[in-house]
Amino acid sequence: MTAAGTASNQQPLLDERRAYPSAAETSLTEPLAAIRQQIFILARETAEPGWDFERGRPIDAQTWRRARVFIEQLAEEVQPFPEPHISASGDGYVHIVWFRQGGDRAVLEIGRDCFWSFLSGDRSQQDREEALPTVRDAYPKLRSFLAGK
Amino acid sequence: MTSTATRPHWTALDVVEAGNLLLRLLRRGCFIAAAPRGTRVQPAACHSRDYEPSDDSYGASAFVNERLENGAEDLYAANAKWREYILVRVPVQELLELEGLQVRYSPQDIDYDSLKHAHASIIGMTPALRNEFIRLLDRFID
Repeated sequence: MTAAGTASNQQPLLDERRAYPSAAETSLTEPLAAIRQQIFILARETAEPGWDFERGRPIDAQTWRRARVFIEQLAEEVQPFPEPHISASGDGYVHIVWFRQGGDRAVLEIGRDCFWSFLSGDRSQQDREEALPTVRDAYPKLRSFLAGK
Repeated sequence: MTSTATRPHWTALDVVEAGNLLLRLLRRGCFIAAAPRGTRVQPAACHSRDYEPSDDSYGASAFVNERLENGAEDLYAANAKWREYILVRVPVQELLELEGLQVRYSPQDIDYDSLKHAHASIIGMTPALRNEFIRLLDRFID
């Protein structure tokens, strides 16, 4: 375990242009802009080893970029935009979580590989998890989840 | 993970007895206050993929309350930033009811000398147990 926030502030932690779009790119809906801002902040916070209190693995800019691109494409393809909750795990994965009625959750984990999970809100169904070949394979799963299937 | 001169195999670590209380720090970014109870703690609150003890970590970190003279204040004295976390108090007995999890003392896994005697690792986490673990944490948050 290491102290939180020990990453050096003396040097850039990542190439911000890669992890976050320029102002010129912001023809955005408001939620998407907020998500981009959140990803930018999380990418900075998780760029160095030990970023959490449990010897956390760093999450590189490329992984955050994959998460951002996934969400941007989702915003184009699925309306209304299903706004997710985004967080980072100490084992080096970006977590993107969606809720639906009843507290059911779908979780996409992007890191060294990619996982899709379903967590039942009321325990009426079994939790499930599977590895995905690519991040894009999460789109049909998310559509199905949001449709209540 | 194999034993080394400084890191014994996890089976050699002392067991944290069921009557103790664990203190677990939860990052605020992994908690959604507005979500339904039971779903407020998100899976990112716990390592999801590194279930096997590794060369620098036995598992999810926690502290044994009974070993801290001043309880949580000892944590904050070691690292003031931890005040920004949500502190969850979970009886060890409840954790052990999640079949497959073990709680062991692991002074090797914390860098603060003042806390080494109280540090514990939750060992044996799998994705399925992680889901149960975060639901359990949720139960103990007001």
